[in-house]
Order: sequence, then C-alpha cells, then structure tokens
Amino acid sequence: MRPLIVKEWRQSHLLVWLGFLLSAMIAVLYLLWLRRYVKTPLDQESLDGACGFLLLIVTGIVILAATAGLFPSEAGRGTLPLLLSLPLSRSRIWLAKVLAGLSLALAASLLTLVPDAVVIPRALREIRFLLYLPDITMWGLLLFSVTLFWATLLRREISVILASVALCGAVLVTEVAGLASGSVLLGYDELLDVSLWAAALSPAFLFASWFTFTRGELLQARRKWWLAVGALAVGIAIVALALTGASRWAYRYQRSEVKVLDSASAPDNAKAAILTTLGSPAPFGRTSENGWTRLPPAHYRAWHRVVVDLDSGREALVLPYSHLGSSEIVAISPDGRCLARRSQTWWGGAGALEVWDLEKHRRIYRGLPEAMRRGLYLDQGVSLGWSPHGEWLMIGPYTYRVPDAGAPAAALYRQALCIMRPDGSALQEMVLDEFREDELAGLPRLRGVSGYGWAADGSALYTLEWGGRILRRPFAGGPAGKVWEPPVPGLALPAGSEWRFHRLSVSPTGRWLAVSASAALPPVEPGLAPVLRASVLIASDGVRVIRLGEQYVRQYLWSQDERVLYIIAAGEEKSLSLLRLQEGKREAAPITLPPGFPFGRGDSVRAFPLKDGGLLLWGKQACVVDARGRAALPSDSRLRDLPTQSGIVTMDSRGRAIVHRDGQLDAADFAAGTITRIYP
Amino acid sequence: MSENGCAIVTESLTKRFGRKLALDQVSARVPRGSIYGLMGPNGAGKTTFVRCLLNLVNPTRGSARVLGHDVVRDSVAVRQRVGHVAALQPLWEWMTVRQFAEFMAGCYPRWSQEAVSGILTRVGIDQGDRLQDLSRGQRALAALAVAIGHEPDLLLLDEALTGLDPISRREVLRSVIDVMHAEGRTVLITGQDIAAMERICDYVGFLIKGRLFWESPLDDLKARVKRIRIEHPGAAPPEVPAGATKVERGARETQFTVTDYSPGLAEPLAGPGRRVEVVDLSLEDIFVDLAQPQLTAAGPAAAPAQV
Repeated sequence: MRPLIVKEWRQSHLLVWLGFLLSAMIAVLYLLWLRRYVKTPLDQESLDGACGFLLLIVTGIVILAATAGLFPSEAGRGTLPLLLSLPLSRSRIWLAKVLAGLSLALAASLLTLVPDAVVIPRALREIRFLLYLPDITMWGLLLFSVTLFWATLLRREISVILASVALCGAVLVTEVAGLASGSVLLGYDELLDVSLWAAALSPAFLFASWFTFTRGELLQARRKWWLAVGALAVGIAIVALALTGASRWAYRYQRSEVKVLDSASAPDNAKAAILTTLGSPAPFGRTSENGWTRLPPAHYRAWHRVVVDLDSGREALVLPYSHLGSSEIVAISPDGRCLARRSQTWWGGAGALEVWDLEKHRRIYRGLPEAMRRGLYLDQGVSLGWSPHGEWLMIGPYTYRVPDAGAPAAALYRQALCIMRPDGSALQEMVLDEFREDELAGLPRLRGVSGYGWAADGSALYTLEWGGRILRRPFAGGPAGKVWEPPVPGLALPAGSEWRFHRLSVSPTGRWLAVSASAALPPVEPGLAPVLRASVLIASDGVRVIRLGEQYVRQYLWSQDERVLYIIAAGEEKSLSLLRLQEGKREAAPITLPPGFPFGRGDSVRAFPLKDGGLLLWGKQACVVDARGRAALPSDSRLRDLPTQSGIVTMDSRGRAIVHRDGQLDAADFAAGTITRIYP
Repeated sequence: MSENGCAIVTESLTKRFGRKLALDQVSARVPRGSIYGLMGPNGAGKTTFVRCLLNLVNPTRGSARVLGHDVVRDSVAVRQRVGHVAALQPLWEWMTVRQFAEFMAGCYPRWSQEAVSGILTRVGIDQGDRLQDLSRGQRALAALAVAIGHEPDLLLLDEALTGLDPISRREVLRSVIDVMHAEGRTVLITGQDIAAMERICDYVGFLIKGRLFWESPLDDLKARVKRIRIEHPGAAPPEVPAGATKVERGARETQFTVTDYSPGLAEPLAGPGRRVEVVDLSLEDIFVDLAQPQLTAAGPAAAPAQV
C-alpha cells in the first residue's frame, strides 16, 4: 500500500501548495489593500471575520481538489487497468487512495492555515477556530467522503467537484431544516448535533465508495451507478440504524448515569404523570476562552424529558431535547392526559409547539402558532398553561411590536395570549394590553398582565392587570374583556381611595376566587398614608363573598377538595404566619408551626395540599398540617430526613409528595408514613 | 492434458457485457512452459479473456484457474505470479522509468532489478527518462521490462507486440520471451501479428466471436490443416470431403482446406486426369482459412475443435 500512497503524493504534491498559495494571497491582500479600509474596531472585527470565513472556504476547496482527482485521474489517463492489475486487492487499493487523499487534504489544510495564522491571527480567533474545530473537522470529513463517493463514479474532476458541493449543500440545508423543526440527535448543543449528523453520514458515503470501487470498477456505467446508489442506500440505512441505536444508548447512558434531576413542571395534584428531566455529563463538550460561552464542560449534558406515569411507574413519554435551547417549556394538563411542549433553539430558530397525548403515547399537534412567532420579538420564554379541565391550552402572555404601527420611537406594543384546543383547533388570540414605546421608556415588560386564573367552566380568564385591576375575559366576549371589581364587604373606602388588587388565585376547579387587595387611605400627616389591606373569597356565582382578613397575602393554597383555603401571609421576622380558613367560616384559624420546623425571614417554603384536606409544608424540613389545622413534624425519620430543599417535584393525585433522589423517584405518603419507589 | 500440467485452465468461461457476449464458454488449456498464441480478429474477446484471468472483470459464468489459483478467489495470488503487458497501455507518464520500476517493485513481494535494468539497457532506454518523453514503442518496451521484474511464472502479453518496429519486436522476442521460455515459464500472447507469433509460439488458439474455435500445438495444427489443390484438366471435378473449408472450384482446378489431414486423405482424390497437391500452410493462412467462414457466417462461431 505504501508505494501507492507515495505515488499519490508524488502525483498530487502541487495541490498541497494550492491552499498555501490562496491563503498567502489573502494575507497579501489584507496587508496591502484591505487594511486601509479599517477605520473602527468594528471594521477590524468584520474584516477579520471575513478573512476567517474565506480561509474556511479555501480549506474546503483544497479538500475538494485533493480528493476529486483520486480515481478520475486514473480513469482519465487510462491507468486504471494497470492499477487494478497490481497484486493488491481492490480494497487495499481503495484504502491506499483514501489514506493518500486524507493525508493530502490534511497537509493542504494545515498549510492553508499557516499564512493567515501568521499574518492575520485575529481571523482565526474571530471565527473561533479552536472552538469549532470539531465541527470543522466533521464537515471536512463529510466533504471528503462525498467527494470520494463521486470520484468513484464520475470520470471528470470538475463533475466530481460540482456534484460534491451540491450534495454537501443539500445535506447542510436538510440538517438545518431538521434542526429548525426540532429534531435532535443526541441532545448536545445544536451546532455539534448538526456536525454529528454530518459526520455520521460520512461512513455511508465511504462505504458506497468502497463497494462501488471494489465491485463495480471496469463495469458498464449504468450497472456501476445502480451499484453505487444501492450501496449508498444500504449505507444510509445502516447509519440510520446506528444513529437510532446511538440515541437509545445515549438515553440509557443518561439514565444510568443520572447526575441531575430537576424541573417540576407538572401541576400540583398531578393526576397520573409527572415531568422530570434526566441529564448526565456529555462525553465531550466544548469550552470557550474567547467569549462565545463560558459554560464549563460539565454543563454540556445530554438531556431527555421523561414523563413518568405515577400510577404504574412507567415512562409515558421520552423526549430528547437540547438543554441549550433553554427556552423549552413544558406543561402537563391537570387531568394528566396531555403534555404541551414548546422548544426554541438558542440561535433564534422559531422552534415548535407540540402537544402529546400521554395515554395514547402519540403527538396530536405540532406547529408554530403565529402567537409564538410573534412572541419571539420580545419574550423568549412564552409560557404554557392549561384550563382547569384541560380543554384549552394557553400560550402566553407574550408581547410583540405591532408591525407598521408608527416610528420606532413611538412603536406600538401589544401584549396578548392565545388559546387553542389540544389538537390545535379553535386557535384565537386575546389582546391584553397595548402601549407605546415612549410610554414606558423601553420597559414594556412592566405593563400588562401579572397573573391570571381560569373561570370554573374554562370559558373565561380572570387577569390581574397592571395597575391593580382585575378583568374577566370571556373568550367569546371580544378581546378587551370587562373590568370586574371584586367586592370587598365590610370596608368602605373614603372618597379618593380605591382598591388595587395584587394577588389572584382561583381554586383548582374554579369554584372559588381569592383576591388580595390594598388601598391607600388619605394621609394622616404629611408623608404618612395608612394602607388598608383585605383578602376576599368570592364564589364563582359572584353571590357569596367572604372577607378573610387584613393580612398581606403571600400565597393562597387550596386543599384538594377545595374545602380549605390556606393563606400564607407575610408575618413578623423569623416567623411564618399561616392561616387556615374553613369554607363558610369567616374566621381564620392560625396555625402554629412546630418548634422544630426551621423557618426564618428569607427562607422559602413551599406548601402542597394533601389528600385529606391537610397541607404539607416543604421548607428546610417537611411539616404536615392535618385537616384540623394541627402542624407537626413527621414521626418517621425517613420522612423527616427527606431532601426537602431540592428534592420535591410535585404532589400526585393521591396526595403523595414525589421526591427525587439520585435519579430515582419516590412517593412519600405522609398520611400513611411510607416511602415507595416509583421510578425507575 | 492434465490440469496440473497447465498454467491456465478455463472451464466454460463466459463473460457478458449487457447484451454483448464477449466470451462464450471458453474452455482453454495453456500448458506450463509453453508459448501460447491466442489469435483472433478484432473484438473476438482476447482482451476480455486476459482481463478475466487477472480478475479485472468477473466472469459471468464458468471458472478459470491460473497457476493453480482460482482467479476470482485468489486474484491477488494470481497477480503476484503473473506479469501483464497490454497493448498501448497508458502508464503514469509523469514518472521516470526508474520511478515506474521502483513503484512496481514496491508492489510485489520479490523483485529483480537486475533483470529489469538488463533489458532496459539492452533496448537502450535511459532509466532517468520520463515515460512521457519515450516513443510509443519504447514505452511498450519499458512496460515489458518492468513486467518481468517480479520474475513471473506466467507472462500475459495482450497485443503487446502491436506497434513495435521489427527491431524492437525482435529484441522483445529475444530478450524477454526466449528467456522466459528457456526458464520453463509460460507466455500467453494475444495479437494479430500472426507471422511473428508463428515464429515463437508452440501452442495456438483461435478465438472467434468469443468462442475458442481451435486450440492445439502449433505443429499439430500445421500437420492437420492442409490445403489440397487438385488439377483436373478435362476430367470431372473431385468430390470435396465433408468438413473441408475454403472450397474454391474452377474448371481446371479445385482447392479446399482440410482440418484433419492424413496421408490417406489424398489417395481417393487422385485418379485419371487428376493431379493432387498437398500444400503446407503458414499459420496466417490457416487462421484465415479457418476463421473467415466463421466470421462471414451469421450467429455464433461453430463449436471449438477438440485437440
């Protein structure tokens, strides 16, 4: 084989200097001419970047030139029969050609880089050459393989070059289109994923080239083409199978090596499913020292969304995704039947909205609603929400600039949301607010809706508006909605004062609405204006109204049967004021936390309603409040020592706290005092 | 002839290129140590036959063994022991003769540079010359010289004498083929320069329309194929024996060629007023007499003659 490689080198050694020559020309142009036009640092960056990209193109040309002539040169000179009559198998001849071509391409590429690396080192830095070296290498490999494939088929070098450029371009466009539509290979960053796809295709082209050369050389052209196309199809099928296997392996690897398990996107009281995230350190990642990203290598992980059926412990759905598409949002419907997932790539791809049927394990909607497209203008993370019975999916709120509505200084912005059925039908947009750019001095996010709750029958939304108003917005009642002022019984405000609402909570089925309001009273002395606070519970019929108290409400919490409303109120320092309100009683019963329950100012506490009407407090430690309002630490040490700060994911429909530890899901039943392994 | 005594044995070797039948059930036996001339008109399938032996093309049907190796399964082993020179075979013309020889030397497990240099010196080729600077004949000589560098047991010369001037041809015959023959190695020559081949071959085969029409030792061929000329002025023309070819009937003379001549064949043809003359034919005449009827006839060539 060695004589063949040496022969190729002797035959094509001038090509090695082609890249060097072109690169040197770029360097000379840069020094003598282009540099004169640099006036600002931005010009310099642009020029450096352009030179860098030019260098990559030259490298591609060099690879093409080094590979395109490997077989056509023999066919053109008529030396192919002489070559094939050597006492070497065709596989060895092919391999010798490949090795010679690879070494030529590599040497030519390195020589291409030399002049610019010396004269314009910033060019390489500007295109982050070292950072993208794996990608460049993988694309170079694809270019080499594709060119080799064509070189075994076509007789003229120029045909080989044109066909290779066309095919590589087609691969690039297909992959970018696939990426834009959300397909993911292994779930690392998108550029690397695309490059991996490209590199994965290379063996198929190499295989087709080898097969065609060893079986089809000196065959009639038509039979050779059939042979090549067949071999390529087989190669691609094998690659597809291998990729499927690799993807599965990646998932198994991640599941067996789970280091991170986070996210709690399932709603509380999840009926049957829970969303969790598995991730593990990537086998490789990229580090950056030039500003593209400063994430440490360990941050690069392959991820999957896993929806676990809490009843059976089975995986209802496994979805790979790229964690660097950090705006991925998921939401499970309250009935546990559907999962909505919205992904968006960091580089600005629009991504897509998907809705999966968790019972039938299939996707029932995939699309890019106009609302999401608009939402990309200002809000990267358009949230998703479900109506109480899962019949509506809400996308938003989001803000966008209304096209053709004034000069930039007075641009009109619109905040809106849209709702649709899970299958994508009945899509409609609801405008929440409109405002001009100059009204808010560039801070449009301060305007608009700060909270919302669904009406009991899912036909309307209560929205807590900027300025403290509450609007009831029926879907059929036009986009504006109606201002609805909840009554605050027993407290009359003096003239000039009005209630401003700042907390809104609708009970799980929408039967009750709890609001918290405050009103500034006339000042009793200059600079001292007392504030009146009120918390009110209103039935969905609007008739029954109960004033709950005057505390400043931090959080409302409903028991699963909606018969108890817990109010977590802002209290004194180092304490938590926790009130419990029984339906139909005005008086709130304060709950005293047990002495061992650590809680101080600044500490966060999460609370989850339990099945029996009680409440689970989840702070530094777990604390159970029973249906009669008595709080106590769990007697079982295993329950008491649960990793409360990071461990809880959600509560399931049986009132069990779902806890993750080391990649496993446990169900902690505080009523029964048991812990059960659910997953895996 | 036993298979062991043969350098080349083919059994019903058939090669089809699409609709074109290039080789049609060729069963040939080339004895070891012989110089075998495979003759045939243009397009007869000679080059395809040689390419099949080197496994440059795969046979459609049938089999071929070269020096005991199956040409499909052991093609590398076959090519290690076989030298091959094709007519007008393009070479890597950017190479010098020395580079070409070095390249070929690297491809074979054994190599005798002395043999190559000896021939090149004898034919007056400077090893420092580039192949592109040599004349067509010199290039053929250089290829021939390099082809025996690995001391092959079988040399395949596919029209290799074509295009050589008489002096070069004689030099090739003297310095390559004679040496091979003297060392007991086998040479298979294809071509149309029958006169030259007649001088060196001891076995011949006629390949016509892809079929091996005749195969035998040259002496045997010449002994069996004779031209019979009968002068019969005023007498009745003789009965032409069955199987005679190239029959020419005249008022005073009848001629034909027989392929199974024996002294007893002429006796019944003689008679009152007739004079029978048995004419020895040159190889070229034999080829023309036997091949022409096959070429002019429609359809495939007749079944090959058994030796």
